[in-house]
Amino acid sequence: MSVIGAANGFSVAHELVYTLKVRDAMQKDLVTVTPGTTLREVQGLLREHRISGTPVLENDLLVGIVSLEDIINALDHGHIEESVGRWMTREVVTIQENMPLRRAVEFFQRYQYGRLPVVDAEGRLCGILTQADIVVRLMLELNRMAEEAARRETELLAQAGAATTSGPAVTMEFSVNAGDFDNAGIASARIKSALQERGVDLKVARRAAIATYEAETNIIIHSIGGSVKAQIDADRITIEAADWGPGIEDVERALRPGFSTASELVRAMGFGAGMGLPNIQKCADRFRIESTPGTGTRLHVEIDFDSTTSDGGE
Amino acid sequence: MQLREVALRLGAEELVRPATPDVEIRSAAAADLLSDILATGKDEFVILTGLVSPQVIRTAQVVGALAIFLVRGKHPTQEMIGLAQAHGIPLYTTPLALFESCVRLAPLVEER
Repeated sequence: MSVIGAANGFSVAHELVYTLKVRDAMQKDLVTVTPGTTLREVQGLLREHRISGTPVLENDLLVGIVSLEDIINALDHGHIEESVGRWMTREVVTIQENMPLRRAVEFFQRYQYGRLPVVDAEGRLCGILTQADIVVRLMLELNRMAEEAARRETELLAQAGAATTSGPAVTMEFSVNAGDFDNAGIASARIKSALQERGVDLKVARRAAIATYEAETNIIIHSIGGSVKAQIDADRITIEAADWGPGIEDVERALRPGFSTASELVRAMGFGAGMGLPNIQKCADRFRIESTPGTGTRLHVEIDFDSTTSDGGE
Repeated sequence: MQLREVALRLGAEELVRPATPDVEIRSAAAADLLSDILATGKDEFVILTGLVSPQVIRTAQVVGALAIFLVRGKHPTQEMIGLAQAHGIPLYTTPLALFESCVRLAPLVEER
């Protein structure tokens, strides 16, 4: 996953033309003709299959290519009833199926052809490739990547923080790994939806989610790893975020808005504004932080379901 | 102002389709820092940001933002699109800069 200078759509496509092969984009259902086929018959085939050209095979070997342009010329010059063999293009540029798509893009730019016959390692025709095929393949691949991310996210949300119920209380526990930005926000999303399912006021659920999210990212950014535990009781949610170190030297300073020790890398991702702990404090009805350098930090947050505390800056 | 009008005012391209384009938008949070967005405490609002990171989507989910607009014509990664789809958060990109985007949405402030 790209973290910084995030890849835009173009550079993803750019990367894809190197990783995808010609065989991934080519059409495999081929319409072919022989040198003996008449241009009139080819005209019919092109119309029937809505294609603009077709390879010419003789004894399974590629001997030429005939295109819509050849047909137009034949109609113009009155040789439409003649056979393909005489009028086809004989010097055919082919491309190997195991080449990266990047190579095909290069070929299309260099030769200005509408289509490239694709051959296997033995030189036998196995497909045909147009520029439209490349575009379609790239779009499908981009969609697939998004769908894959959506599926992974849904799975993460479903699996994270297996809940245990004891009486009216529900406990959820999430382990949070150092540097694991991919999973930042999973615990808060789960906790938020658990609260909403219980009919907890949306603003209260949001405050719990914000506090959890800031706590999660703190562990990811600053610690060597830890966990977030949430206990949902009838009247409140208690969030405990604990890590194994290195601990905070000066807790009072860390609570000051704007103070941050986050790296440039982390700041470039939009974190490290020095608002994490102040935000958590603002969302909490009760807030406690204990930290011992070398041992770790423990954060305790309680939010009452009937509380009127606002997370608002307005 | 309905979400579809917000998108129209920003000349935005829709990347993840909204389920309810007529949802009422009353405010916007414009920031490149996630903690600033987390601290806004707004309701019925959209996020305007120049930050391109999957965490923008998770942040939007946490604060209950109704849509995300990436400014300066920035394009999200496919991963971001997938995340936005998973959370049902409409995602747009506008060619406008953050400041111009805010100016075009000034009626949101006047409507209050």
